[in-house]
Amino acid sequence: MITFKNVNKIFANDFYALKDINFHIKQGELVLLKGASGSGKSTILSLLAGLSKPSSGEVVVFNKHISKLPDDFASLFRREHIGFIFQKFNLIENLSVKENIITPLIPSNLEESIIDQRCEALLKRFDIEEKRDVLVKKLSGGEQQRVVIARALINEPRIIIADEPTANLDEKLSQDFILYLKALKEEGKTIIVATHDNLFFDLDFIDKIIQMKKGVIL
Amino acid sequence: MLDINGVQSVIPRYWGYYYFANAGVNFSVVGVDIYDKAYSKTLDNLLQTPKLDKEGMVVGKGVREIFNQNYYNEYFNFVKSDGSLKRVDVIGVFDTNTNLESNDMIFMPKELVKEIFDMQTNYATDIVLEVPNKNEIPSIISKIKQIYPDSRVITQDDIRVSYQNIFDYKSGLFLSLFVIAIFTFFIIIYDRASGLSSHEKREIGILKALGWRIDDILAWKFYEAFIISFSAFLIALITSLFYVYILQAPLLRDIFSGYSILKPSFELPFTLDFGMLSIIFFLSVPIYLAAIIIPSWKIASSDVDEVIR
Repeated sequence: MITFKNVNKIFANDFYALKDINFHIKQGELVLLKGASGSGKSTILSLLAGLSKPSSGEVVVFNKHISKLPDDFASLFRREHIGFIFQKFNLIENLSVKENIITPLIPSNLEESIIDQRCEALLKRFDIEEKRDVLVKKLSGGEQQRVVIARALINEPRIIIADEPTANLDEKLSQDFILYLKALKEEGKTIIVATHDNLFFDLDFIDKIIQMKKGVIL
Repeated sequence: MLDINGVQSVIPRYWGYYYFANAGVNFSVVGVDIYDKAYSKTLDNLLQTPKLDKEGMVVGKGVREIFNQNYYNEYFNFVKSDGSLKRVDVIGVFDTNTNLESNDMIFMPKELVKEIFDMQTNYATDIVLEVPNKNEIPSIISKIKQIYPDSRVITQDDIRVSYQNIFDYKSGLFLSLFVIAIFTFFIIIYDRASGLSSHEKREIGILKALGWRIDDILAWKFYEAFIISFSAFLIALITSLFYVYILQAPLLRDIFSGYSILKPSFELPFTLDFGMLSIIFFLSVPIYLAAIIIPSWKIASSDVDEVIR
């Protein structure tokens, strides 16, 4: 389902952010990308989502060469297949909870009633119904995290990408997040989490851990 | 003066300032021969009701209001120098469009002006000489100076220069305000065009990561910038109309009309110059839109993964 084949990513001054990366992830797997800051985890997620292109090699998702997609097609691909959970939440501060959650669907041609239906279901699922019209900047960290997960699920993606999702959370909220991840895996989502948080590494529902260091897989 | 070679005609003029103590204002009283074709034709164009069919006076709107406030509706009693009263009927009011110039003016037959100001038969306030050949003006001036050494001769060019100086000073003031406004606007435009803030870059990065295409982002930015700039344009328009026509342009009106508190107050006639509005619109809204769209396009077209980390 997701294949990285001989992928290199070279930045300025011949700095190898990724060097000869090869791995394969099957549908429904929960995979951890483990490593210290700067090891290349986020770069892999960026390539996987088509946000940047590899210097060489191939990134194939659902039999599509993501690395060769033009920019607009890569955006469409993300809209249809990928849910993002960012390290710093990356919510749009001046929008309400509901507006943030539906943001991925605004450019789509989905009917408003369907968007509303999906949004309401997610608000209920993550227990933030009461906050639907509140600006996200007024929410607590835990509430913001739930908005981020709801936003990642609004387009009903098959792949969830989470970049250091617990970096800004306390232990209690991190445990809550892990429970959400478990539920998503049980729904059949393919989940890739980049983290160096030890909380993740002893979980029994992790399918694979990819250990990284200085741009290479150990 | 008619005997001086080159002088075609000599016209005495009768005018002066009449102080109306009750209201504490000055009226500019001008004597004209309303049956003179040159005057009557001009006056007909300036009057609200162009009917000068009887002896009386034509007044500016400000004068009319002051008359009314003091219960003079059909006529006004001028106090002459000997203390007696001279009743003069109001037979016309200048059109509102001439308000800026005519507000404090009273036009009446020259005989009435002479009577009110108690002017002797052979005297006039000033004399206008018509000289067809401009080249003869300097020699005519020197001849007048020889005959009447205490006279002051002012040519049409002198008057024009004098008015030009006044308008240069006023337009200079407005020009400096205008330049400051334009300069401020272009600083804002330069600031916007030279790059978006990190917050805006981040927003574009988030949207792109969430599956927005470049044209989706540009469309959103366009609507956002258009709403901002068009609202600003409308607010500025409404505020300026309010400032000028409701508040009567405090401060700026004094600069435009002079500082005399003795003159009757006047209302600015309402005009909406659509040509000027179009120029302001096209110099502001599209430029602002371009200053937003171009940097947004640059950001949206580049790799945004760095922005959202």
